[in-house]
Amino acid sequence: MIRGRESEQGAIAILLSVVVLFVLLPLSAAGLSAYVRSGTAAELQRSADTGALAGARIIPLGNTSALPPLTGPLPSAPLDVACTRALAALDSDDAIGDGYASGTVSCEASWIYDPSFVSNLGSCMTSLTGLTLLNPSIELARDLLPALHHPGVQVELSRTSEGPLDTLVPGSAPSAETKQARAIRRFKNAINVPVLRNAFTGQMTLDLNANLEASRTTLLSAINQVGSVLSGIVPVCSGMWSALADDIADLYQPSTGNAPTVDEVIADARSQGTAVMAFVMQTGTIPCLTCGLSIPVLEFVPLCVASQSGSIVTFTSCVAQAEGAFRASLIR
Amino acid sequence: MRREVGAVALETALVLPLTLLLIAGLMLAGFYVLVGSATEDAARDAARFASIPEQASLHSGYPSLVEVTDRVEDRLPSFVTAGSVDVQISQLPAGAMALPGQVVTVTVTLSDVPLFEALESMLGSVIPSDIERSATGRRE
Repeated sequence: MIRGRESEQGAIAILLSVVVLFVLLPLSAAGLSAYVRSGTAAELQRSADTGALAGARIIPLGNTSALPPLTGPLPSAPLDVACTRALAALDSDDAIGDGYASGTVSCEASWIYDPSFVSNLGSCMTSLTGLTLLNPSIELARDLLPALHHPGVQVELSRTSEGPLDTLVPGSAPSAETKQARAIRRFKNAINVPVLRNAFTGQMTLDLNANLEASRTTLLSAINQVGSVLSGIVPVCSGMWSALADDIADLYQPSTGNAPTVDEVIADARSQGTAVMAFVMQTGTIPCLTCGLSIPVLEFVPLCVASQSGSIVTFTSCVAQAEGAFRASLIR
Repeated sequence: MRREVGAVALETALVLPLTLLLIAGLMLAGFYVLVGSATEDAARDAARFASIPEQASLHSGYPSLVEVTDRVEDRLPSFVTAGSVDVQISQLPAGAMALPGQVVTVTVTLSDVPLFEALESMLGSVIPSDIERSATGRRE
């Protein structure tokens, strides 16, 4: 056996250590970290999407806070729900990177609105205010305005993630990841057939006979015609009704699949205990001595099914359950 | 007794090329998997992107093929985009118009990536030089 300076014992061990420490370990760390980061980024996006959709779905009908010209009280519930659901989704997602998330997860939710719509609406309202004859209908239209635009919620979800071997590699730091999702509120349970209001009891009824079901298309056309007439009188108001018409068209003239019947919409709302969003047709009188005109007004009212007898359905007003009448969809 | 001085050097000289080859192979295989993973991420992100309309035009504001391709290229590492990136979008039900409810499939194909080209020339078709990944989304 050779001793002293000529000994070669341990040489292979040193070589192997060098290779493992400076080549194989950093390589494995880099590969695994990239894989983990990719998994956590996808998980973050899914969770942000879930939160934004959940928040947008419960924006109340009467909320106009996303319309700066018509600012009202800001309900915090949709924003709170958006973040709560996003964080819960992140927590329950079983993506590979779950165990490697480090630091604090942060969620920020905010209101979004369509700036081009708001800009047009501002010009439209200003122009209409100049027409004295139309002033009362502006007041009447306020109930309809929240349905004309698509308020929504934006969620920004951030967290840092660290690959499994990152801590072993000098200079390797956890990476911060932020994902954003935006969703808008849209109609889900909407019936666009005439609902009649009883002046004495306040109850509203709907006749579900086949002829009235056929009136969907008529009413959809009516919405478009109202928009066209208004645009003719005040050109800057063009397009105000398009968002509403798009929503209704989505429900009753979908580009793919079959539309639900009115009975199905009502049966669904009844079983879920949620509201249907109904067009209520009323007549508004312009209090003007010289005109004495009556104008038809379309109003959206959240209604709950109280009873059904044959084709006659009786409703009660149920603003509290109105959120069940909405869905949400993601936007860019 | 026979002296063993130099034995380790000799063994190292024999084993080192094989070891280096093994390490290089591991690096390349890992690199190949990573590029595949990045391509899959880009395809998934693009499918989501292609399914979501703009706020101002809900029923017609879906991104064009050029916009989706730009998005994919932004998501891929630059050394990959040195080759050629091909993006295809298909929709079901098929039609000229992009409409809500359609299932949209985005297919990303990477070809002519310099490193993979070199590998293919050395190893033949053991490692294919093209990488193709698809993802689907449903139009909102």
